[in-house]
Amino acid sequence: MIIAIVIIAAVVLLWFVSTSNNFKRTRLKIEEAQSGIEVALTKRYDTLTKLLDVTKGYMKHEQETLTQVIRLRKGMSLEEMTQASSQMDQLSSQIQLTAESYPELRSSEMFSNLQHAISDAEEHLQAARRLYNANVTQFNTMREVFPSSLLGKNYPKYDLFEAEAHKKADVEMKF
Amino acid sequence: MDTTKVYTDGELLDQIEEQKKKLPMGWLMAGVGAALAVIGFFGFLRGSLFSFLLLILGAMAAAIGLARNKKVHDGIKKLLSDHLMPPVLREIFETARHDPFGRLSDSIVRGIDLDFPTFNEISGSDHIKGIYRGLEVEMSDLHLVHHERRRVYVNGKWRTRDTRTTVFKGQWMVCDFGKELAADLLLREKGLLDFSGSSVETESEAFNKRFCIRSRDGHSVFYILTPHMMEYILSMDDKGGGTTRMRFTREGKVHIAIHNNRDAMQVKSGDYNDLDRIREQFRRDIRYLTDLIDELRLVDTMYRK
Repeated sequence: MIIAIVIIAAVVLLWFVSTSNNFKRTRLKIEEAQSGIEVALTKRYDTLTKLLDVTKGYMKHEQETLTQVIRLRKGMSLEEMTQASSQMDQLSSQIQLTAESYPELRSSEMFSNLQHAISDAEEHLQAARRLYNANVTQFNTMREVFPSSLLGKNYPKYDLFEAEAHKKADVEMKF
Repeated sequence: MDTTKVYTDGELLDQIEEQKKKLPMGWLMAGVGAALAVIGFFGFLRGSLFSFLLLILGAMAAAIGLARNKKVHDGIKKLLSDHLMPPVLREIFETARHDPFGRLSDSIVRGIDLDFPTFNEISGSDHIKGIYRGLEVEMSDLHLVHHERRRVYVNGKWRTRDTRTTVFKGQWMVCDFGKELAADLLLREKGLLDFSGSSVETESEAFNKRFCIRSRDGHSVFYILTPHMMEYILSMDDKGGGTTRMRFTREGKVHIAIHNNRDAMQVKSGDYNDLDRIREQFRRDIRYLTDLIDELRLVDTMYRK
């Protein structure tokens, strides 16, 4: 009888330790993924800066927007990252529109290379977001499903990285 | 056979027919030889020395007959390779060479980990090497075998037992993108009772269910496996008729191996006369793999020259 109690207690303890560690491990992965989003945003910011240098003379106002409005720092919240990303999206669109009006700019090799670099930076940002969301989903699922939900109440729920509002809206087609 | 001349379809069919005329004699030799060998074997069991001689001669005749026919089939394969394959390759590749009896080198096959069980014999055919859309591509049929030789004690004697197990049989392609990729990533299709876990789970349930994903860098997995790419790999796997393995290496190569237990570009002897069908089969087998390169190139930022 005593041996059975000891075995049950050991199993419960093992489960407790294993589940706690899983929560902590996943939380670290989420923090790492969040850091990955910051890195991707910084890379995109840097590339946009270079692109604006190339478009000097065509887009003075946008350069001010970049340096004054878009602020990146370490440890940003999800909302701040979403806002920074959204502002960079708008800037990127404006650069594309400007380039369409100036063929000499569009045909410049440096401009073309930087456009590719921005595409690459955006792909990295997408990957970072998806990785973050995958880890958050795993964490939140552990919080909800039994038996890990018994310990899950001790940990706060994480929010997913949502798409910006303008990306959720229907695409307007102009012909 | 004039090896420098390019034959028209009519001339090629004539050449094939000339080769095929040698087959009946080969089958006859093999059949008669086998029959004599069997008769000789049973006679030898009864202690007849003459029967032993019959057994040896019969086995030799059968072997020669089979070897003759193999030579004929190889000759036809060479004819098809020399005259049908080049136009097909020109349609698809910028430049390409086809060796019907060559294969990917041992260093390529042994140098990459596609998570196969141990193998110690490699054979293959239909080696193609060329440039596709500016990228170096190499592919062939491959047959990987695990050959085990054991000594077993049976009926009071030690005997040697040979076991050959096929580890992989199908098409293998290597594409060199000439640029370092984001990370090493292995995709291995799971078998029926395969419960191996992935190091990373994507948002696609269907993809996670079908493939085991292994990589040390989760970011790189999501960078390479976009939703579009995952959908493409799933549909390519459905069409392939086998199990798929892919490895993206940091050095800038992609290995794709389709284990479907068949040799691509292998023509059955009954189909030798239908040249259009053979051309279409060659085209389809090559395109199956090059279409993946097209799909990867859609991820333009990752695979730029």
